[in-house]
Amino acid sequence: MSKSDADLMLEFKITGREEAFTQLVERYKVPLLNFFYRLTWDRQASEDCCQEVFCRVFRHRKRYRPTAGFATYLYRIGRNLWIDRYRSRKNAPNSVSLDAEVGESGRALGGLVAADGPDPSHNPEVKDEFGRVRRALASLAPDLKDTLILVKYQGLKYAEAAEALGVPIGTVRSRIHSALEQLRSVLCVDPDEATPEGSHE
Amino acid sequence: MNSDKKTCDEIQALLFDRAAGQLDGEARAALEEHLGACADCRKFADDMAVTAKALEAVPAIAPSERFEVALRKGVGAAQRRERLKRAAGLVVFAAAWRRLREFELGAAVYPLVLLALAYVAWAMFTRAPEHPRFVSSHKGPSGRLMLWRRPSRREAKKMLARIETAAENELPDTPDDPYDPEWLELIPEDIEPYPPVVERDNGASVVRKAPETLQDLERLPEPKRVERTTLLPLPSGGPGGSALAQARYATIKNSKRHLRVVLTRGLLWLCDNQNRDGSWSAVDGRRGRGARSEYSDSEVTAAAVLAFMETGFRPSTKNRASRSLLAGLTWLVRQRQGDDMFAPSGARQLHAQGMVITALSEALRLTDRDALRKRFRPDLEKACTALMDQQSASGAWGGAKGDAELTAMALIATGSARSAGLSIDAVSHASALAWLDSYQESFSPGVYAREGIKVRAGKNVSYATIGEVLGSPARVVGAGDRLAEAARELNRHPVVWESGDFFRWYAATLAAYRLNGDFWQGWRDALLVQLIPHQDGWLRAKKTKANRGSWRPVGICEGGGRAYATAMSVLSLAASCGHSPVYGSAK
Repeated sequence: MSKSDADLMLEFKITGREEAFTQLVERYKVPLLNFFYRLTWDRQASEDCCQEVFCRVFRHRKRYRPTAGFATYLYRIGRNLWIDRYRSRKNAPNSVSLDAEVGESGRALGGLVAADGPDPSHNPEVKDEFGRVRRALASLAPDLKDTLILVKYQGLKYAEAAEALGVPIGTVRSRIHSALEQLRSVLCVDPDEATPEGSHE
Repeated sequence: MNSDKKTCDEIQALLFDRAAGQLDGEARAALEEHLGACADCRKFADDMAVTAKALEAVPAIAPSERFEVALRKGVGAAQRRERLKRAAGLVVFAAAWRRLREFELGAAVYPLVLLALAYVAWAMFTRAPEHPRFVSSHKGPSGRLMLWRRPSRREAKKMLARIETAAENELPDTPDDPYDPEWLELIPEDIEPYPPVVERDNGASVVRKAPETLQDLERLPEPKRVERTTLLPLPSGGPGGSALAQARYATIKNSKRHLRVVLTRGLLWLCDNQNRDGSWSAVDGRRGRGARSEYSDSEVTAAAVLAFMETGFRPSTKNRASRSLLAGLTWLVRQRQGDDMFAPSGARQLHAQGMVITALSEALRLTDRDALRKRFRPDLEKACTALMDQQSASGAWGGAKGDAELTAMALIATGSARSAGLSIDAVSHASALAWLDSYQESFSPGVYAREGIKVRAGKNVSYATIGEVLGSPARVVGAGDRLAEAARELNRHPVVWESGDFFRWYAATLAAYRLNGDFWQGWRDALLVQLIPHQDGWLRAKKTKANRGSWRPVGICEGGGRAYATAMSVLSLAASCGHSPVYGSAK
């Protein structure tokens, strides 16, 4: 029988056994990577962030307290990291946001950066739909986006997301509602009509 | 129309939840029903479905080779840094050691210094206090102040031995002392002849002669202990009436002398401080009447009458304690309000209800008199119905969110009602257990409590454990069982006097008894060590002190007053003899 995440993490914390840590990485590297990917739309940046999160977990294992699920703990670290980087990038001079769209194509800069392996945004079939959804997600306020990604894509329950974000459950629910409401207004209109509206923004 | 609109808003909120993948079965049914009837909402639902589908179109990526390499590098760097830190620590220690040697102290000093360092490290880091407020300040076995940690199991045993010796040497032992522990001898006069005992011996029924004298009572066997990993059976009626009272009395009688003294003094204090109407007040002293407290008089009175019943008394008029008990019960049944609750609405209304149900059930179980049974039973049934009505759909008590403490209380109350012969809905019992189970799951029990960081959450987990232990059907708890692991945590966080968590101590004592074995021993030692020395006037011969025999309300139970603290302490100590309203005790 496989051990629970919290058990593994505690085992790692107490005994320092690296196999436990490796198992945790195996379980969470794909979800965490995609969490960052949906925040940044940049494979390289999200791999960097993901690696940094696991390193933080490794370094600060003694500080781990099994107050909630391990996933919640991980996403909390991830989100804090994301906020740090997001802010530092905003403040840094002469930098271009990877979310910024390049030229007419509507593709974000992040998607153009060369990376190993196939990037879904390079697939012409999904490109249109994908681009629309990505623009819609990018138009959300950061708080709404974080919450939506945690709940909708990472599959956290409201309570877990509330723990990860450090806000009450009611706030998570209302954030999800307003995020979906905004997305509905963008995504539920015909793409052709949406284009001028989008450029207007 | 207006109300329709409101419903549509709610339905749209549910549609958002559905798109986020957070809808449960019940809400889903309500949603489908509404969508069948409302075209606007159907349109909205279609929009939401489109949005959700579009969002799902975002594909996932897999980590690349570069990521794996970078991760290995990062972890390697972290490991190197740790090794470096450790080495730096050693260097600093070695430098300090060399500096120490330069003082040219005698060779005998070095081991002493090392020992002192080791002791400081052990005292400070082995058992960090759970919460600064709850740091215990009692004296350890060697008489030192143990500021940093609570006593371990072995130390608790030693402390208990010291208490026993002190009791032997210092307790007043005069026959005319009004606090004479032999006062308990009054009880047998009240008890009808013990019925013959039928025992099964190798399939054949053997009828044993009923005990008639005190000596016979003392020879009664100890409550049967099953193996350490088996839960004691839940009640199926069990013995009641005089047999139960006799058995309870016998265990108190057979307990150590100091425990008898402590219990007797507590009960006497309760007798002395009962109000004229039969109740006990939640607020002490002159400001009693009119002053407000979150504890209701009903809860305090229920705890006090329970304290009498758990020590072997029955409602009657034969001796002082029984009369007190009868008056308390009579006052209690008069407190039923229009909504069948026994306490005014407030934070502790359900607690009070649970205590009252437990008290009435015990009274029903203990008395042999039909008049009293007829008096208590209808009220008890109504009280139970009112309590069951408060159970939420999730199975918990305490609103939609649920409260582990209230749920444990409700399980104790319904358990005692069942043992008094009332029928309790099995479905509600099972759903309460299921809720506790899932609640524990969400805190990864056994692991969480060991860390003991958030006292509040840790406490709730321990209530969830208590509820599960008390409510689960009899079964064998395996070695790796979550229940056993979680219950072990009860021992690791035993009674800390300053917290004043009287109800939890009582409930945990019941749970520990049912779990038996190691848990039970450890818990009982910790309980006795904390409760006995904190009784006012313990080991003092002076009789003038008004509070002698009572316990001071501390910590979270300050609002309950001295009567509550005393009643709950007596109750916990009686439970430590194996008495419980929840399972069939002392068969």
